[in-house]
Amino acid sequence: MSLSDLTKMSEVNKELYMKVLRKLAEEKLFGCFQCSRCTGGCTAFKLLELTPNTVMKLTKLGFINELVDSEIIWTCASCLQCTERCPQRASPYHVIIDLRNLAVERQTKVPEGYLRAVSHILETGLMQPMEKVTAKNMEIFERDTLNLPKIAGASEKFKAIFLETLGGI
Amino acid sequence: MRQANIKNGVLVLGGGIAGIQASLDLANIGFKVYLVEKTPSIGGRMAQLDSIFPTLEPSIKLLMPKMVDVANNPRVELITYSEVVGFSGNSGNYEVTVVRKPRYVEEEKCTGCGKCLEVCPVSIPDEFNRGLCRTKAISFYSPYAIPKVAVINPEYCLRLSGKEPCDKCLEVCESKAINFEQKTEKITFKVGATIICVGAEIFDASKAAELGYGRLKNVISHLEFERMLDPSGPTCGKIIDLNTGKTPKSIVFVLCVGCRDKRFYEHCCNIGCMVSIKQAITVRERLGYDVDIYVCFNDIRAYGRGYEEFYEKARSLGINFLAGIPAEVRESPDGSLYVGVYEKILNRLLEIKADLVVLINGIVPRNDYAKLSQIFNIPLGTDGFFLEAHPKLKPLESPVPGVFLIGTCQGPKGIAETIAQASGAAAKVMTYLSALGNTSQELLE
Repeated sequence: MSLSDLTKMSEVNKELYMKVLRKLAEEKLFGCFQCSRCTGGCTAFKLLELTPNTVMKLTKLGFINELVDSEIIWTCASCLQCTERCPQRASPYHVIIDLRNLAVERQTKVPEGYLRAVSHILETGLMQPMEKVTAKNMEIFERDTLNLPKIAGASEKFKAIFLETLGGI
Repeated sequence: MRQANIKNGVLVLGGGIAGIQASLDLANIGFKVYLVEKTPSIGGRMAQLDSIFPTLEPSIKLLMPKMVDVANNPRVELITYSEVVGFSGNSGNYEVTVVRKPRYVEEEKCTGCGKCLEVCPVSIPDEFNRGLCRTKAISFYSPYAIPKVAVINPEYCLRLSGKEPCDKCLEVCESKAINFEQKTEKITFKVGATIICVGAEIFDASKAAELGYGRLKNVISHLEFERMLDPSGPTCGKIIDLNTGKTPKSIVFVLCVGCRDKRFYEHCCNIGCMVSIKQAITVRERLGYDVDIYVCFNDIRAYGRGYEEFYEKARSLGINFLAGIPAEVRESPDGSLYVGVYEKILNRLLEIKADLVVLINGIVPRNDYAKLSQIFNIPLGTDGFFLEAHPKLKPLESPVPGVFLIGTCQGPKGIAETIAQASGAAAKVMTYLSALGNTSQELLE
């Protein structure tokens, strides 16, 4: 390959690059001219040092293996602020999602929290775990003591569709 | 006040696109134009280009009609292969002395058949193709030479250099145009105004030794690459690795060579960014996605109309722009080149294995400016280019009345600005000469 990184000793994978290239709509990746507005407003950057502009640059140059194996792509909070603000209509978010899909496809280690969230959705059909009702004086109530209706779990039909969608996992 | 003996002739010095456009404009108004060109053919730099940015139109397609127009215009006197050696007189009445170098071929007789090229035994490096291929000691300056008259290079010609009494071209020439006795000829004429558009040179990158130009075969300048891309050039438009002749797998463009560099020239060459983008797009269009293209830049200055969109097009074609200029180009024993770039955005040192490295050499002043500056009494700026009377209010005028400066000799610029300046200067000449008191009828007699 014609490009190599002497700092991290990673190599470019052209085949993979072409695959990702085909997958991504042109404007989602290629418009990027490194204004780094995405990183400036990134929710995950403040806590977890995700730099979407670097992700864009590395993907464009073809250092895809390195990104897929790294944990940084899993820190994106999917707030979509980068997509909203990009002056070139590129979308770091979509690139990161594609990289995650590639990671799952290759059965790279997916962070535990993600797996937990997936299994929670499968069990309950809910995005977030159910919390108990807390009053102003910090008194905690169970739902049924307040005569609130019960929340139904995930239906069989939903589970079937969900599992089908997940495919590989 | 009406002044006597104001001349209505105009000297246009330099037969590039600036000189051609200015001559056409002046001749169409009705002025007598003396178009003096140093090389054997008009056309200048633009004739050497493959295409122009941002439209990617073939350069020669746009230039050729203008070249033919100017050559056929009865009011334009084409004085090629000549240099101005004297310029004297005062406002509106200058005397110009021009030295015509001998072609050893008579211009009126030569038909441009090219038979002499076939028989000439001496092969020499082709200047028009920047030494990428060879031509004969008797040759046409370029495939599009106007006037299409052969020229003998006296340094290499066996007979003129006194090596052998060779007369092969003399024998084969049907129109008896070859004349080994031709001598340098001096001509003088009077003009009312002058337009100087002698153009500029590109930086000689062998001075920046770390990049290996002149030492490594596959490190070439953008003008050489332009000749390579040209379908009428030495490789017929094929992009090749100059060592092996194969199609390159990876091409690196290096911007700002010799310019924005205090060791050489401080100014920005204005067109380098767009030239690299144009060439990168051309490579992508011709070779597809099998070739990796890297453009190493300081800043991308895409300032003109349609330029930013052109840059966006380059990005959408998967051309990689790396923020950082290579420190050096190294050659491995197998002949491939290694280019190390510290990428400012990634904060990483990247290494590119390249088959071809194209240096975007800046536009720099030519060596003969000092001589011309003395002849015309026009000062040179600190950057080495001719100095206009005022950078904002009088961008076309020189400090000498009736002498105008256009094109790259006044500072680096692209084709669009050069043509705009040429038409502007033609209008200025008209204003200048009529302001001296001549009515338009007298001027355009």
